[in-house]
Amino acid sequence: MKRWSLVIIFLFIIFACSGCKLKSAQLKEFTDEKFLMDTLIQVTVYSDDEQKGKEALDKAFAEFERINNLTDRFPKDGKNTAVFSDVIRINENAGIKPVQVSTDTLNIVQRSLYYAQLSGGSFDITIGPIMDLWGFGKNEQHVPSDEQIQKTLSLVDYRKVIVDPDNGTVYLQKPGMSLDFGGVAKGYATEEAAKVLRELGIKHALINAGGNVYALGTKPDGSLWRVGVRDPRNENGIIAVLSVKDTSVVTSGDYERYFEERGVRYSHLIDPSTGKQARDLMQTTVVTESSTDADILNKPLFVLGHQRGMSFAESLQGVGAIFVGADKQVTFTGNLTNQLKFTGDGDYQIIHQK
Amino acid sequence: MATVLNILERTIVIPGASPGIKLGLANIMTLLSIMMLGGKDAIIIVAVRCFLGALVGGNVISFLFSITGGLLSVLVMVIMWRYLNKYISIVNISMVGAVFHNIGQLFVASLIIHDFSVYVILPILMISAIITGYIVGIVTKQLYKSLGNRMI
Amino acid sequence: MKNLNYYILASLLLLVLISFGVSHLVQRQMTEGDLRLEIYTDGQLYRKISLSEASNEEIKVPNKDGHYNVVEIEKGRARIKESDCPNQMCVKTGWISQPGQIAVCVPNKFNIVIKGKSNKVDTISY
Repeated sequence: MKRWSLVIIFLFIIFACSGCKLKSAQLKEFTDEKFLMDTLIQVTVYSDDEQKGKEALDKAFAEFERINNLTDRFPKDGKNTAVFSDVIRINENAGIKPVQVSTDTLNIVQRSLYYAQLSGGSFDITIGPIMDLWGFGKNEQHVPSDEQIQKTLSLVDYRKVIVDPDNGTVYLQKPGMSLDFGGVAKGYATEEAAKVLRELGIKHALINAGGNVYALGTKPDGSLWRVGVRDPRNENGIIAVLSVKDTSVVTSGDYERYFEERGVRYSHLIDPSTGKQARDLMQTTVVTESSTDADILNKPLFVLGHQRGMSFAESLQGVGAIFVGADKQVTFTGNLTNQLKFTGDGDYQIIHQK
Repeated sequence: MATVLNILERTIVIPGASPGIKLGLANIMTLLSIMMLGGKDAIIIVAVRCFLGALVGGNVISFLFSITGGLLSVLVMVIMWRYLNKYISIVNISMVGAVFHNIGQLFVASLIIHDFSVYVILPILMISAIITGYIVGIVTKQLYKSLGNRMI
Repeated sequence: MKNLNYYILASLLLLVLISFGVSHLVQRQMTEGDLRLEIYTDGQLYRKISLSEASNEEIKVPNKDGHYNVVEIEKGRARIKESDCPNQMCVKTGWISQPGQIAVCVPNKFNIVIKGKSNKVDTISY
């Protein structure tokens, strides 16, 4: 009988205990990077399931590949990208006929035209001929003459892009016109990749496509993602840190793609109205939910400069922006105040709004 | 005796109180098994309990965690009890067992994620092991005494 | 043997002290010792170099078309020092030292990346 009482006591204790079980599954980090769109694309996702994590990475990169193929104007290594590239076909048929394109391309064009209009032409995807004139796409950069610029400017006009949503076509009215998606492709691809991750049920992820950042959800521990903003004159430094979730942070600077001739730096950020570099600012950063918008908006903000850029940014809903002037003065939209912290590095003068 | 326990264990498994209490009770059980049923039986009970736990609601990884920590801990305690129980108090054995349990689990964690960075929590883990080990030891000592009197 | 209990207690105390030391070391390793450079040619990993204990070094990396890039390494940073590519963008990128930063030579299909964990930010927008 005493034995049984012992057994019963033991059993009672066994009931209440499952001390061998570990806490419910931990979130694991899955990360990978690939070289696409002329830059390094890094994707990090968190999932409690290994298969799901790997699948999420593969699908995200697949989106980048897909958009890259649609938007690449300069196919490399003899790949027959012309078959995929909507951009190439649109450009080849400028002044000839409308071209049927994929829904993604249509979306990109429409969104771009929307902002082109809103910004009064400070952003213009028809800037292709000017970019070619400066040699940016083909790596043969040189400073063109004013005459050449003037002549080529006649081919830059977003109003001459005719989109037929019902038939899914895009038509460039004048021969010689060409679209350049360099200012929007990465953002759009990032947005598509983020969509795919969401569909797969990923709740925490970080995408960095060549500096084009999208923070999905929060960090696994619930805190906000910390995105640093690079110092335009110091590649190793950060001038500010943004704390964000479900937001895109995209930065454009005159240090990304440029060449120097006779001591003057010529960056790839060109004002569509003059055909020449915008020089008021060194760097702009856009903070907003849509990665496509963030990518696009950097261009008009950079071109418009400090004052007009700030007004334009403030007129936009749900958009925050940081402006770093060539004079090292830094301003930012008021809606970023709570998430923005300056590091104090690099002797920039931070102008706070009243 | 041990087989009886195992059979009964197999038929009844209920999720109970908070994890801390669960763990504590499990360790009391383990220690009592060592003292009253002998080393071999105690080891078997630990192993079986971990298998059951994994079957019911765990996965391979949590099983690895529990079996490593559990076996390491019980083995150390068995050795201490068998050869040294005249010189070491039950409380101390319990504390050492708890410490090894946690070390075992942390080690498995570091192997699984291929990263030593888990060891940042080592101090907290050690301290909590010592505290819970102490409490478990005291409780077990009491139980042993009162049970021992009744068992003859 | 009689004092074994005390030895046990003393060892446990020692264990706790040691564990603080281990934890500290691991933390330090996490924030600084982790910096490394990865060199890729043609998309494949060519070499991995730790930057936390690196001494000054120069590495010439040829690619299969006969072109080359020269990587210069110092403690905590690296750069593409020289290249035979036409636009020299990679050289102009200069020194990189933050995790996630890259220097790319598109014509030569060559790039270097800084890997590691940064404790100030999770990623950098540039």
